[in-house]
Amino acid sequence: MKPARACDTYPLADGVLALPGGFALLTASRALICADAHLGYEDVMGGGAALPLWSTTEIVASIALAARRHAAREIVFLGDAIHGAGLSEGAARAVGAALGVLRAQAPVTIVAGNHEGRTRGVAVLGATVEACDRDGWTLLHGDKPHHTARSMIGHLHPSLHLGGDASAQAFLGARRLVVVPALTPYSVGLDVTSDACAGALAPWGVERRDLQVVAATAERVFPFGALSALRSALRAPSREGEHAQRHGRHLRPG
Amino acid sequence: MDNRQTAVFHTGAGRRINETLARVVGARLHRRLRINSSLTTDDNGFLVALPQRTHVQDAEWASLLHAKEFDDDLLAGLRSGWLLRQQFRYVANTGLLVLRRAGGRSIRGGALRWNAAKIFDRLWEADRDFPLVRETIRVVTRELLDAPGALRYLEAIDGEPRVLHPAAATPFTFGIVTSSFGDSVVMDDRASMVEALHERVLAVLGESRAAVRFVAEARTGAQLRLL
Repeated sequence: MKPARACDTYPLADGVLALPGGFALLTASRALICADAHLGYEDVMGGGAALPLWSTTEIVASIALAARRHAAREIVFLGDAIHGAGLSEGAARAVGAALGVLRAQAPVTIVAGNHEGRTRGVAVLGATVEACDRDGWTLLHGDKPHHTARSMIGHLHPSLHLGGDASAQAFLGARRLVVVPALTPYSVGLDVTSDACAGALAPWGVERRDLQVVAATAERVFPFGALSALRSALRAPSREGEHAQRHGRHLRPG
Repeated sequence: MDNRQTAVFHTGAGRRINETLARVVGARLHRRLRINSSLTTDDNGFLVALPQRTHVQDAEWASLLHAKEFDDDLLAGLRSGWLLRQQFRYVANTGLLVLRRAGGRSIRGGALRWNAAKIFDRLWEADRDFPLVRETIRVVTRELLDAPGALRYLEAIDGEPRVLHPAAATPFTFGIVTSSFGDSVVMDDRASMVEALHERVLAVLGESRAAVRFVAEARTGAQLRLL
């Protein structure tokens, strides 16, 4: 797992491609996987101040574009499709309409995550599932580790921190586990090279040297090679106190 | 300092003018050399710190203080920092664009800040002439900073500033280095930051330990922080 040149798509694991924009594609079923969209975020975070749902509009447009571009036959939300089950009436209507646009394009399957709460977001999202199987992969949110042969999860918001508050979406891929980055633009995410990320991955029983990191921008994907090598390269200054500063910036996922 | 090149500009112009000049210099460094920088200011002058492994020649430092394109550079230097966003919250409160109470209940401080920052970012992209954005720029450049004073200072500079390399920091720098007034000028977009990091990793990962260490320094170099 060596770093490779930036490209349009990159194989993350058997039958799974990393796509620009932070989407994964299951090549056999052509299911487009999107994680942690947190639709309606402004409504929940704005404290009822009636902010426009900017991110909902933009995320749904990007999903629709990716689905068209890659001829997706299904769109799967990998949990935390909405930021909270208690959306205002207007926001719930807007999210429902946005999902309607996607449903007109391809069948939409929504895996419930921790942000869907006890109601599992049914009032806003319609029917949701706890997990589903596609192409030999179990697709689940990942807030509660399940040991399956091959799991694809979201929840961790994996990212590559670039300095300051800037970060880029980053996939983690191994033979038995794929972690898909968050679509919401409001999360800096969990730095894949951090101890916190290592701790979050521990229950899934995957070694760092088996995981590869692929960062994504809107246009391309950037294969960074094995996580263990990248981590040791990027974390060298931690001995000089740099890591403590970076560590303090981590946002909790989910 | 921290193996980073730093330049202290001894102006004696007062903190408001120094804060203005520092942001102009930060923006010019990026425009000319694609270098992000962190800034610290006090009454006597300001300090510009560069990321590790970046170096600016003396002639370049000396040429940064001039009055040409002052307004554009000041705005560019302010855009990436926290000052405009922070001030927009108060202006937008007054203009009822950011509500303190909605639906019969108070909105907590964190949500207020978040709302204001997101609205500001959107407005900046959509319409920089929006009255509340214009008012925020006016408040920041005229009341918090002193843009007219800084421009007068630049216009009054006679000849080129001298660049010295003292063996040790002078006593005049103490207040600047220890000042708590700081900001950063990070003007690179995210895609180019990913690309730059990826290029460095591609070039050296898997080679010698010295090369690996260079990658690490390349990333921390992009980490701008308040001093």
